[in-house]
Amino acid sequence: MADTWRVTSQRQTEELNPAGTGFESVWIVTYEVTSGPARGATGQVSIPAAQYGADAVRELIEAQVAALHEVAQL
Amino acid sequence: MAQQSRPRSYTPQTWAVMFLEAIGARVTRESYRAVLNWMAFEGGHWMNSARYNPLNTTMAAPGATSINSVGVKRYISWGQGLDATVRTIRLSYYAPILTALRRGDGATIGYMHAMRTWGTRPFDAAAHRSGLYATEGRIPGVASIPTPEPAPQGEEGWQWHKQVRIAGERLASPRDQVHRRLRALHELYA
Repeated sequence: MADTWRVTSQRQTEELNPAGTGFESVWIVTYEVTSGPARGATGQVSIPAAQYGADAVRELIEAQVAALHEVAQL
Repeated sequence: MAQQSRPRSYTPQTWAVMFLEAIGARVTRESYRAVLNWMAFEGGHWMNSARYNPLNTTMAAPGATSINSVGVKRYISWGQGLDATVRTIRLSYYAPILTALRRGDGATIGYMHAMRTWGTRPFDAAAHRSGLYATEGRIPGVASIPTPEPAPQGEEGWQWHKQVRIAGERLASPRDQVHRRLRALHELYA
């Protein structure tokens, strides 16, 4: 299936860790939905720097975009 | 099960985390540091008599009283104070601050015109700080952040849980304990 979104920006920062006790290095990737019911919506995913990579980011974004499309059709 | 206990006490650090979550912001090093520096310059709750009001907002709320001629409020609970602060920052005047914090990038908020409108004199939001408003070091665990009690009945403002990004990855992410906590609060006070 063709992508219905595109990455618009990405940056590295530190984000609160899962335990909420400190910060861990992450990449925050911003995307825009380019077609489908949620067209025009934007979102962000964050991924630990150690796991950063195209496949991992794609998986996260696609999960979000699927939810956005579903919600847009409610 | 949602935590039923009523609040103990926030620290500036735990309040900063809860505030950022309440406005739908990413809790990044930059946004966390920015809020703590802002709180240090305002001095609400811990440094003055504006109870439960770390950023010295003047937003009205049932039972809240003014501590000075400007109208900075002393609230009756942490929940009411958090709610009032969230309602304030959502006003259009403060959109640049809200936008920056939601991006997880608060380094410039101290010099924004919107910050002058809030009434805070210019400050370095990216500064490292020690002491009460320490920006470095271990943060008390999210699990130790007290559950804010609901605002008094009839108050319209207790809506901050809706700031959770419903369609965003943060709600879906199993790693995000903060949002699980906010969902629990939603269930508790729905």
